Amino acid sequence: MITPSRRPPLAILVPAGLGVALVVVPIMGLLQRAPWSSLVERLASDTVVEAIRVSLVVSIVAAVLSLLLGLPLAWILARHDGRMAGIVRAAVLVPMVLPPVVGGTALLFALGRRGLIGQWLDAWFGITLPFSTAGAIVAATFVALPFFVTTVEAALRQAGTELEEAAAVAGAEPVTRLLTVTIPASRDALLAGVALAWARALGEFGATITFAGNLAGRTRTLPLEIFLALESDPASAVAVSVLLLGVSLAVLLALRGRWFSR
Amino acid sequence: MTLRIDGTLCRGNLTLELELELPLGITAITGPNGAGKSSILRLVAGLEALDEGRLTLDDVVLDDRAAGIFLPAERRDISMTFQQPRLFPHLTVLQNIAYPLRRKGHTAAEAARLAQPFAERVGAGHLLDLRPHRLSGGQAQRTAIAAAMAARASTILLDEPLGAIDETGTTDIRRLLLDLDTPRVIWVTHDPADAESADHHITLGLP
Repeated sequence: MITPSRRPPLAILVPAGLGVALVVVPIMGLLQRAPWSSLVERLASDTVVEAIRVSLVVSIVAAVLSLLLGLPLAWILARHDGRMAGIVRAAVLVPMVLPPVVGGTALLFALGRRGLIGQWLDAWFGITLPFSTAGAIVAATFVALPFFVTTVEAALRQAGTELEEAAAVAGAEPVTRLLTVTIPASRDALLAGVALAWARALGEFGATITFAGNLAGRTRTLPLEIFLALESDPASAVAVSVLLLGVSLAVLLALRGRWFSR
Repeated sequence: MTLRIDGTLCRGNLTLELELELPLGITAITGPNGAGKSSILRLVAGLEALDEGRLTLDDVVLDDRAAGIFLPAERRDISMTFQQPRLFPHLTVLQNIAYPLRRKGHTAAEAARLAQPFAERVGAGHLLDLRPHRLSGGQAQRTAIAAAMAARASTILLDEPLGAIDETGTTDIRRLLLDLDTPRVIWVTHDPADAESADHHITLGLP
């Protein structure tokens, strides 16, 4: 029972309700248009299966890279409060607020064949990132990394110092403290960070299509497949959208202990 | 075998002038909040450094900024318990107690075997497989004390070890702490009774 005094005033209730509707109504619209009877069949078509394969490779490798690059980064940011750390943190977080298409353009001019670094990659190693799966991975990692870093930095900051002191007094050298205490004690945050980075990488569209293009079997991930299918085969586009919606909800559900329990 | 602190520690706009001797046996440190009781333990442990002056053990310098000497916590022959017990949340009670033994190079099995008697001595023998989040404040502090004992350091620092343990449970732990076979025990406490049972007593004033 909501007692009169605890019921929010209408002026708050109405915009709040509209906010919920803004999220829920499109999802209902999608589900209502989903071709349920032919869903499995459409998701099993060659083009979709190929996009699923590309998406899985790109998003999983991007999540692993976010972990490998992001963990040392988060640890340094959690342990340093100076000006330099502030600048590094701001730089790492840029992709979170940057329009992905701008990120893709930036990657193109940095790592493209004529780019700042790309020209040397091409000349010295024969590596060309644009229009390759590796390029799609770079684009996905670019947008996913900050999600990992922010999640893990907060956890390392919170759990870190006190436990590391206890470990130091117990005779653990700095690297041992990191490996035996800090990392295992923040395991939940690490898993959450990897899940968020993976989900973000899986949904990546703008930076990927700008930097890596839309090549079937190489850079055409599920979001790009949706974009393409909307023109020719809307029902398939909806089917793939439902698949990605399901995956997103599953990630949210897996992280529920983190967000919904407090 | 005397630990000597002779120097200053700056914390914000507060400056602690310290001139202390911490001999063998049990030394109780009392004083009002903010007098620097915990800071002294942190200095001795190697978690903080003096801003000026030096910390010596006999004629060995452990901390002297001017001379560029600072022996970090993990290299000092010292163990410590904190006011709020700091247990590793991913380890069981037994693994927490065994942690310092693991750092000395014992295998996991060996360390667990050596750690068990310490768990029993603090009355945590029935808690071995629990993780810290399942423990009461008193059980957690008992575990932390057992871990500090298991390290077998020649100095144990206790920061209000009975603070987290409820009144009825303190008697046996107090007796245990007073009977420690550790050569030097430094015991920060609010309780005048603890201070009276100690071999030496230092009262700090406000800086």
